[in-house]
Amino acid sequence: MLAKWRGMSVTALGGLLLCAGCKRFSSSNTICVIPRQASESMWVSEHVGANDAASQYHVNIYWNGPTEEGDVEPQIELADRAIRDHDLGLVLSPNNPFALNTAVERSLEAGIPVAIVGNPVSLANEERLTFVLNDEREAGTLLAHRVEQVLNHHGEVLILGIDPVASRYPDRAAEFETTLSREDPDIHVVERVKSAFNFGAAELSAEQAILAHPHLAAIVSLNTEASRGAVAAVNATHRATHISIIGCDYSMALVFLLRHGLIDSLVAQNMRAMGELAVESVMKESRGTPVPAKIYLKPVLITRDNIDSDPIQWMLYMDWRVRR
Amino acid sequence: MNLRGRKSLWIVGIGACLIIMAFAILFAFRHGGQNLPYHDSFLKNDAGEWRPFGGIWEMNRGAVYNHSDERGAKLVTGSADWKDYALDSDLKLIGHGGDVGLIVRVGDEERGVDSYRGYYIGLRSADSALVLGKADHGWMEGRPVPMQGGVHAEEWYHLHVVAYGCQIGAEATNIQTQQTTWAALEEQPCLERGSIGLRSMGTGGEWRGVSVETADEQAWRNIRIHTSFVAQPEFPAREADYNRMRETYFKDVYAPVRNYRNFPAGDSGDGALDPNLRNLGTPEVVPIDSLNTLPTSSQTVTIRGVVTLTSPLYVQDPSGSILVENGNAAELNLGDEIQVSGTPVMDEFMHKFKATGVRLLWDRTLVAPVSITSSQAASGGFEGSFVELRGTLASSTKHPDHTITLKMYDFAQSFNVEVPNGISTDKFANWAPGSRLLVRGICTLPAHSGGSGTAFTILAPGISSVQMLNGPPWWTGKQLVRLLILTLLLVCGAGYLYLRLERWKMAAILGERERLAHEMHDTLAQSFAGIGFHLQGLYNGMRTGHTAPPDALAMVQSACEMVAHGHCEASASIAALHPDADEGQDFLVALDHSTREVLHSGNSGSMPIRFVREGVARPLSTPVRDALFHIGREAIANMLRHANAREMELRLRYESKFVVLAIRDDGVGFHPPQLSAGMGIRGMQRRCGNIGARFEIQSAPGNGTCITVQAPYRLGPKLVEWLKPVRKSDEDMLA
Repeated sequence: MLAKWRGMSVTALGGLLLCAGCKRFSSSNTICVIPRQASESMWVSEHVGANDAASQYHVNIYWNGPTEEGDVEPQIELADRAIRDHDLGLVLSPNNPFALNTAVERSLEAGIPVAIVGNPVSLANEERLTFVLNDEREAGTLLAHRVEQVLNHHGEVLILGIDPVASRYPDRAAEFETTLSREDPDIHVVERVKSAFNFGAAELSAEQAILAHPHLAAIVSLNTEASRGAVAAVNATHRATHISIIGCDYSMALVFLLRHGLIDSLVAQNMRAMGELAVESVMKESRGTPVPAKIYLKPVLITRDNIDSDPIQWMLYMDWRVRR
Repeated sequence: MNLRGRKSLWIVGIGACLIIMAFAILFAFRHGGQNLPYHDSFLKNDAGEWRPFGGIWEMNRGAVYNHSDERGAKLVTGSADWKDYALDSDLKLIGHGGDVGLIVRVGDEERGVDSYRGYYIGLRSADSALVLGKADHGWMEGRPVPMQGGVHAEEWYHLHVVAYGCQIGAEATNIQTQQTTWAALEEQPCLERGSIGLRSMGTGGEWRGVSVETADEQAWRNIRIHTSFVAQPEFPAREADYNRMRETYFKDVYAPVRNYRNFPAGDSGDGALDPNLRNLGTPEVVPIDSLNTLPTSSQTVTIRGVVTLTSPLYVQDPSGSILVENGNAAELNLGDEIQVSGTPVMDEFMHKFKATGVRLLWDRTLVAPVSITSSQAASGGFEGSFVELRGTLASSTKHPDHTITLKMYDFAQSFNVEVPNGISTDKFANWAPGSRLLVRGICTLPAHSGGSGTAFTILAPGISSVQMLNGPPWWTGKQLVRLLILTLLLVCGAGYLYLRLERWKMAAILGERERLAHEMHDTLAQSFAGIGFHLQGLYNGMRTGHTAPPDALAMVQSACEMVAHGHCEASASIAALHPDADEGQDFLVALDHSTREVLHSGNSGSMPIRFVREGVARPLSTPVRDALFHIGREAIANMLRHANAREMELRLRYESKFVVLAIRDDGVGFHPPQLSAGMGIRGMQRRCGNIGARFEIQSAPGNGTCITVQAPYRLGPKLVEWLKPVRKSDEDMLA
């Protein structure tokens, strides 16, 4: 009997030592979700989706992110924290396609499955790395079709908020222009304004463009700050009745403006579904179930006509509290 | 109580006190140890007990500032055990947009927008609302209440917050207009305890006169009586509900987008600037690096850049940075994009910019520091720039105004770092000389830093701009001495432990030898003595011829019986000493066998003896098992010989802490004093004493006898034995 107990003890101790020494041992029941920004409603929707999936798998979500979109450093710090805590997985919406590469690779080396949400990082397909991406080509096509509809196939358009770093990839702006030139050659893109993720800079650039192009009929803004800047610029130049704003992504403020007619429409990423799929992918990876390397979700056009529909309200849902 | 007992009591008492003190210190350490009421020491430029989570915090004029637009910047203090209390503070927004407020019952705080647990009560400028809600690494907002007179930047408000039970009440007063607004929130279940904090969201803020005192129900009622509803912290789940709420309650005031053109702020000097200055195309806007080539004090020019430090004011654009004087920096935040008009002036050999007007263009611009080496910093090429560099701490000084000067060096340069005063100075205590630090701040050359003899000085915006990368290396002289002392202590401790173990082992061996000696004395020696006595009598009788053959035969028979008895005793002792005696069966079985042998040898017939076991058998230590075996055997033998009993019972009961052996018969009994001096009873008592057992005998003439022994399961060394110094005799024995 004693020998049996001794044997069991030695086996258990050996197992523990092996586990402690194994880099792929996960001591946590938590998935770390790092959005591009932690409090705007678009990212809160991702939180909702992540918590939905987490409740199905009975795991916890650690949710934190930068205070400003575009800030890379807090994302790196939080990813390092996930590695340090041996988290079950990492769901990351990178603020930059290059600056997070090392953090992602460190996570993968530590045996932590990683799901990249929204926009890609510049890493090749690797084991335990999944991409849950917005279909940017579809976003560009939706923008083009909406502009065609609003301008009745004729007019001048300004593209605002081009991110010079992200635009190295096939993006929504490129697809937008390609679709326009193919389908509506009478709609001209008069200017392409590059700007960082900054409201003031976007406003100033938009004002200058509006003053420079008196026949401007539409502004396509590629991110939320550019959309806010466009609204401010249009108001400041008193051109609200002449210029339609078609934005990308959303915040509560932008949806409020859409409801009041200051924004024509928004092409929105389905962040809730992305959050859910990302956590599912991480869980499947951690259990050895194969998942596709890349999953694309189609964005949705939000207008005043469909804003109150159930699918749109489901997507914009903001109560992130876990329902078990 | 004897001397040894008193000594043991003292040792146990001191040990208990030490343990209690350790727990008390641990508890105080974990729970902050701050008591109510609490009053800030901002007037003394001291906020060492406050911990920043984001933001750029500094102190001035009896107030604490956050000079950043960071969302969710927090400054936290207090105890995690604070429960029902009232928190008061004056506060104001710096800049525009966003909100400032107080947090109560705070826990689990970290850097991030809503990264804490607690209740936030704030003044929000976007909808001029008094906001109450709960954060739990996400935000759940109660119904906001429109503020009487609105929420405006640069105006002082007084916020009085009561946290009582699961109710949170707030009273916000515009100090200038005395317009007051009340709001209340209730949550079940709620966060019941926690510390306090200051928080700003998307703008800078200023707080003064922070105080906390315990609150009762009346304090809550005083607020509740003014509120029309008690909000639940329900973040509207649907977008439609959320925006409908805004349309209902804040239709005329909610401005999701404000245009900076019509929102002048921070104007100073000789007056506001021409709005057209904002146009990038205006020729007056010049790059900062071009100021070096302009004639000084000759013409008014305009520069545009991001605020990288507010005190003093530094502005940076892609071409360079410059120190701005007269910039009214108190109303600016880090990350603000501003436009400054004025004239460049020369100060010794560096340029400065004398502002005549400052206008805020927009806010929340991310400014990343440039990572440089100390030699690059010393070259002057990064004068006024927001930089990041690493170095080793040589020494640190905390000045009477609570500012901190760090003297640092790397392989090429020595330099200073100036850290603003007051906030979280306990962090400073961890920066030991030799630590590797990462420092962020504005690089200034000696002309601006007072000619301190160092190559350059870094002006850190706040204490959070200094991060410790590594502590001092362990191989410093001090550390080596510590290591040596620790090693010596360990060696001494190990030696002492070894001696203790050897002493314990030797004591156990001696004890066993002593026990065996007693055993042999009680059994074999006495048997041999009896046999010898009989044989001697027989020899004497036969030698003198006085012993008749029948008597001689009787004596021989008696001697044979004694031999048989001695053999029996020896067999029983050997059986009890065998290592497997207690394996697989308890000693009750051994007693059963022994009793049968006694019955068989003594021809005592078939007396019914019941052996009863209660409880689950547990292993006994060898001395305990032997003692119980021999006591049981002796008792049975005595009862068989003397009791004339019709039946006997031997009951072995395994209790939680003791094993109890009870032997009972229905024989003739005796008057206890009659036999207490007998060798059998005395032997039993001696054996009980050896194992610390309690011995009890109950008997009366005609009423049978009952012997009870209550013994511990194991005998081990006592704490006192361990602490006793090694005796010389023990050392001799070990030698």
